Amino acid sequence: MIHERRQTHFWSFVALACILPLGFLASLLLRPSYGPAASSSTSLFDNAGFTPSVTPDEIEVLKQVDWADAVVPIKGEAIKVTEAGAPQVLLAVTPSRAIQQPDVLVYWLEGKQASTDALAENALFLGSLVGTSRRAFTVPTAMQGKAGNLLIYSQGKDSVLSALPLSADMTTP
Amino acid sequence: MSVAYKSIQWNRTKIIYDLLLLAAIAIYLFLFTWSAQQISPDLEMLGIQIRAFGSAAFILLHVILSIGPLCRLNRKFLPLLYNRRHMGVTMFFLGLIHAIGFNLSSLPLLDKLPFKIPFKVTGALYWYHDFGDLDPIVSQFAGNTHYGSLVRFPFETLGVIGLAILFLMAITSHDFWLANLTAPIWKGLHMMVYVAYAALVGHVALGAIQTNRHPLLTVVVGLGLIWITVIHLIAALKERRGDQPIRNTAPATDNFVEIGSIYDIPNTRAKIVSVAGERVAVFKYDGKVSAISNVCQHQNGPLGEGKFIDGCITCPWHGYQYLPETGASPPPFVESVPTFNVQVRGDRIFVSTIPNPPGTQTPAAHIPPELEGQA
Repeated sequence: MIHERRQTHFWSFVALACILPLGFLASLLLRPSYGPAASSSTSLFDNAGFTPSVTPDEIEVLKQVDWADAVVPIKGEAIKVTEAGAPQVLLAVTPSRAIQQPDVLVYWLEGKQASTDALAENALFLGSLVGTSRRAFTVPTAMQGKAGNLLIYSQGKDSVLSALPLSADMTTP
Repeated sequence: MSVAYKSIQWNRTKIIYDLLLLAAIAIYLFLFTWSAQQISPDLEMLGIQIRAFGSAAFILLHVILSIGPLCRLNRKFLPLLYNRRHMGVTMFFLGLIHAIGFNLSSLPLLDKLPFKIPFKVTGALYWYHDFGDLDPIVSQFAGNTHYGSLVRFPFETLGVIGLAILFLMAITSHDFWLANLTAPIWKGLHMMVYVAYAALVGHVALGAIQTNRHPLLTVVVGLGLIWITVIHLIAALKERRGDQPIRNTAPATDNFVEIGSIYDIPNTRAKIVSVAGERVAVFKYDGKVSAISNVCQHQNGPLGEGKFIDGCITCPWHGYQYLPETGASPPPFVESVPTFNVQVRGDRIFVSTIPNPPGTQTPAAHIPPELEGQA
């Protein structure tokens, strides 16, 4: 290599030797912890229809069902939460083990049986499932007091993984 | 070299080199996906394949970047340098498959077969950006615009930058570009590999490591960074010592500087000295001493680290040869390097500080017969 290129080589690597380790350390130290949003964003979640964040002792479990043999094993609970004196019944879904399917979404479809061939167009979207987090879904008006099926849908695979029967008393407000 | 133009000059060594490279990559990809399946059969294999190709490219980049400084530190690594560009092009293709995927059945000729060949990889671009109503490439650049943040920096853009540089290097990797751009410009272009390296370290540090907190990944990436940085700095410091000008006990006279003794140089080998800002290779052979530029005209390899073989000074990198008394390649080849006038006074060697134009006939200096047997 000619002298000029060796000089460029040397100084550019001195620069990299300083910048890269600092950048790498910064990327580790500044990694955000993915926790709940700050209190200032609570109203945003309320407006978007997310369920209220409540402590465990404020939850009353009304009914439980366990779908242990499903492709995505989950537990379902009809829970009553009281916020600011106003009781609300939510549908809580908790994966029994870490979900290993991509982009899992939860739908509800009215009726005794539901096909897993394709996602029905009139299925109601409830929310997403991930990891082992318990998710509490607001029960839409169209779903209240009706029997149907929870459809566990993988957006990544574009397929309905499971159709789990959900009795009407799980959705009664 | 320049007799009749051949676009690719395959030889046995290159073929073995490439076969070993491809075998190592195939084994790595297989082990990566196989071990993932052993950990959990439910893991999404499309995502695993993306990581397999991406990690293979990243690891190969570290191997490629290690070759240069390791060759400076130990000549035993020179065989790896010989066909390094094939490694680089392969690495680019691995990164490309990681980014946009690959479908064997869609290749020309193979798409005409009556059956589908079951080898397809979905790239990261489509896996992460093809589920919405935006074109995946638009989604790629418009999905995250936090350029003012460090940890939320669009790491995928860094990957695109790295891949673009590697593409530029891959398409100019052939000797055609080396000859037309000339070695210094071509080398300057290919030194952009360090910019690509920085971009790709950022791509991994601000991408995979942000969400995958397993310590093994962090440690492996960190060790790779430390390794590349340390060996480059060690090799650079060694080379800087070689660039120190000759310290003469006597001032230069009539443009000649003393570079050492005839006993300093093994027969058929050279001593590399820095004269007037550039390195000069002073060879001793057949009772004579000649001096030529240390910079091979092919890829600026260090001629002084080569040998005197079959009457020619032979570059250790790719075997380009030059006659010692003219600096020209033997006919019919046309490469040539500058030569330097040499004098032997007693057992001391003196080299002119003024180079002769490439190809200039420069008689070798003869070692006194009474000293020749001892040299």
